[in-house]
Amino acid sequence: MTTLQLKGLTKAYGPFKAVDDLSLTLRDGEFLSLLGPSGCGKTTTLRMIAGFITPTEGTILLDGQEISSPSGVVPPEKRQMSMIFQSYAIWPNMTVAQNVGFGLRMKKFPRDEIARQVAEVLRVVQLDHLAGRYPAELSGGQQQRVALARAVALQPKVMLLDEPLSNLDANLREDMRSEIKRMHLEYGITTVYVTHDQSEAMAISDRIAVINAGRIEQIEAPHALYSRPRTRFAAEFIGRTNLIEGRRQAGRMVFDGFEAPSSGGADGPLLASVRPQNLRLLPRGGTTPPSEPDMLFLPGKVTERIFLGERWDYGLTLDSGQSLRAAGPPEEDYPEGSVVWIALPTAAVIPVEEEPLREAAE
Amino acid sequence: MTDAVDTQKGARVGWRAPRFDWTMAVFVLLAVLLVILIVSPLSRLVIESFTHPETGGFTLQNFVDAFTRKRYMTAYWQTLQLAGVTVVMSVFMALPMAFAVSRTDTPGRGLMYFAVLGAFIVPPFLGAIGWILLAGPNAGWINQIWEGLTGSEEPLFNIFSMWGLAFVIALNVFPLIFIFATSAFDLISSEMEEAAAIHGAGPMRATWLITLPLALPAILGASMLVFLETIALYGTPALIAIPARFNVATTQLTTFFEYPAKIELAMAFSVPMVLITVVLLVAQRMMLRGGTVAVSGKGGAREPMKIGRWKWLFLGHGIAVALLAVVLPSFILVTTSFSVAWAKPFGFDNMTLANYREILFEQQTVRDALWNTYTISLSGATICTALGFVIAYMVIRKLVPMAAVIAFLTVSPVAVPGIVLAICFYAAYAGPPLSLYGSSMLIIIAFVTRFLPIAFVSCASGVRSMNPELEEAVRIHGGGRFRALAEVVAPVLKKSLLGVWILVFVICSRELSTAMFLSSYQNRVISILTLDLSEQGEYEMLAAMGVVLLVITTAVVAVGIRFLGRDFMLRRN
Repeated sequence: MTTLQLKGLTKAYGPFKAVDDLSLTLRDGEFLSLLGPSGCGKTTTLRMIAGFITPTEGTILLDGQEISSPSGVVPPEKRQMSMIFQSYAIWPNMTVAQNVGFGLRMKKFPRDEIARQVAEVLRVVQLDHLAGRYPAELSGGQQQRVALARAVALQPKVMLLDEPLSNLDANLREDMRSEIKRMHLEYGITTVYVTHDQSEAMAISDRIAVINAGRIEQIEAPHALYSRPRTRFAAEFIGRTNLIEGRRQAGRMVFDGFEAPSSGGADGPLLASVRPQNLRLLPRGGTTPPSEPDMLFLPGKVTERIFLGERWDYGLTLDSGQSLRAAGPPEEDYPEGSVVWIALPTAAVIPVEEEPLREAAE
Repeated sequence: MTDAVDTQKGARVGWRAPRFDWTMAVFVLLAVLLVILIVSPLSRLVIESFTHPETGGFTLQNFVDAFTRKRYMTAYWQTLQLAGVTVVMSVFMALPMAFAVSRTDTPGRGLMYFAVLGAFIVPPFLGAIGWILLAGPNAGWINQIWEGLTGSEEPLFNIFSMWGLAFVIALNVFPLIFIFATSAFDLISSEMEEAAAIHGAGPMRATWLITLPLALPAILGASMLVFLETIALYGTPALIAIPARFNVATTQLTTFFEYPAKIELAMAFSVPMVLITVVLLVAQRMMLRGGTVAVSGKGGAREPMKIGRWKWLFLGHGIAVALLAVVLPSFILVTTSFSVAWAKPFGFDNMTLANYREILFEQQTVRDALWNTYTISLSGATICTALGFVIAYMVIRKLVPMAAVIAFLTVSPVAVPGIVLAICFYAAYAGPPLSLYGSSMLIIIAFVTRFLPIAFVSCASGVRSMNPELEEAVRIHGGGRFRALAEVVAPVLKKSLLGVWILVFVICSRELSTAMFLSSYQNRVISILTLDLSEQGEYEMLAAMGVVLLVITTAVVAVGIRFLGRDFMLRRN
């Protein structure tokens, strides 16, 4: 059983806070992604977990034991973790087997035991036939699998991954992603994964922590994160969205030209997110909108459109003046200038906060 | 807008009058120059060594003579021993410093860097003079102090020995290893070490198992260069080995020029030196090729390792090397230059400016040597840089036929030790028909040949780093190739060209072995005069001259650092 806890973790460089009061708890065997734009503090967080950086405030606990605090850190080599680096950092002076067996050697395992375990891990990543090769003789994809094998060979308590896919071309990236997922299922190692690529995080994680300016905006399972973003940043960073300004009034969300029921909250200005995928276009002949429960039908016009292969990307203008983007299936073809009904389920109007609430982190 | 009008008129469009093919002209010019500078002198090595001194016919006798005399073979054997010891000593001096500067949080890293730069700037013969004054067996300062303190009759340290010679050479050549090792360490992403840390290796083991093995090819390659530098060195052995009564290959070579000069024998004797050089240079290239593959890796900022109290050990080592290589020799040179008699204690009654007055205003020989040195260095550096740039541009952009052959010829003098090159030039141009012996021209072209590889390689890497599209953009917008060169290529590369010029200037101003055999009493340079003054025991005047040389060199390098950044001298290429 492994639990990793970050409590109020802060790393300041002078007045700049790279990581700002960040708290989260990983369950045993969980795969958590830290997702955010470059410079948001996700790599700094990862390197604090690894013990390469000392926090200026807060603590990190592994199985309840404090391993990092401003007064000191357990050095990386004593943390029983492993890491896959952006560059993979495969040691070019060692063979594949020596790379993979390095951690076991450091733990002073007997030689035949190291050999046995290395062979086992290499078999899992399908590199057993390359054990004696040097990294320079391997392809990019094989090098990644060496890095992966090296990281799991130790059976670490926590495995850390620092944007391991960012240096790869598209198809290698997908292979490696499924390989990482497979290894996670096989060994069940608690994993922290840093990435700026939302689709990568979606595909691979149990939970995603969206990080912006050193703070967690939202931490949730991928589907929930997509369908119910809680902050403006989370809504914009994950997928594409329409952000609409309006007001909350008497238990309803009121926008220019339409309104939707609200699940609560104080009256006042309001920001809502509507995913383009939730909008559907219908031809508009007359002036009476079709009627359907919990559906809004808004009159609008197609102002531009782009064909993207698997869908149309429409730019729409409501008669109220509000612009929206919508995704449409390729076979439903509305030329520019078409007048349409825009069908919108009221449940798809998601209110979001401008700033993350402090307690959003836990 | 006028261009558009021109186009409409069709004034220039389609204009295809036959033009003079200037690339052919440049090619012929280059070919002639390379023959004069390189092919003709270097071919002498082969021709003369197989020529019978009297009949002029083909013979193997020179080789038989050169390699059956025990005395000659001993000289070679001692050269190899000397080079081996020097390599070990310089690795010991350079490696901890390189590691400390590149990878750790040792304090004073910037100062260590300047110490290495200083050691690199001090001409080898001045370092040797400094150490003769410091550790000569009888009057050397260290030995005087030692004998005063202990009452011992035995000197603490006798510089006139194989070990002393190796030590003095190592203090001068260790920067080579430092340069290669730091650039290798700098290339190793710290993720490599972090990966070791997170997989359970502490800093010591990470260094031992990861960092050092990764830098090993570069360190070995640099050691080979130090080895080559040592076997080719003439000045320091002339100052130390000759009084110590042992011979190395280069000092042996000069004895062939005692009357009657045996040029053919000298050439035959030089052949193994050239062969060793070629073999080691090839081996070094191969090592570094392996090395570059090994240390490639993208991403990863580098962070200095926190090494705790070990840093004081590294700092101490750095200070010790800086003292031995730069501070002590320069200090003794400066004090000597202001002394009436250098072996006497330094005090007011022993202080004088006479040495400077002597060399700057009275002694014609010294003034001539200073003048010669700097005119030769100025011309040498200018010609070398210009020629290196033109050849590099032509070769990299493949503007002339046989680019690969030209590139190979241009770098081939690397394989020839300076003193051997001097013999080649002597054989080719000293006698009739050109009879250049005694003219500065001969020294200048010899220096140009010797340092052309450095200028060429630096310029080539500059040109290679420039995207050819920059020049193509000039041409598609209506400028010719010369305009592209003048308005784009040269301005973009002006910093690297200045860097090349300063580097060549500095090494020209101190070059000794190439000037051997080529300078007569009319065209002596400082380095040659140093040997003469040392033989006469005129250390005070010699020190004053050395200080002048050091001040000028330091000023030039300081200008370079000001404009080009501190790395420009200690770059590896």
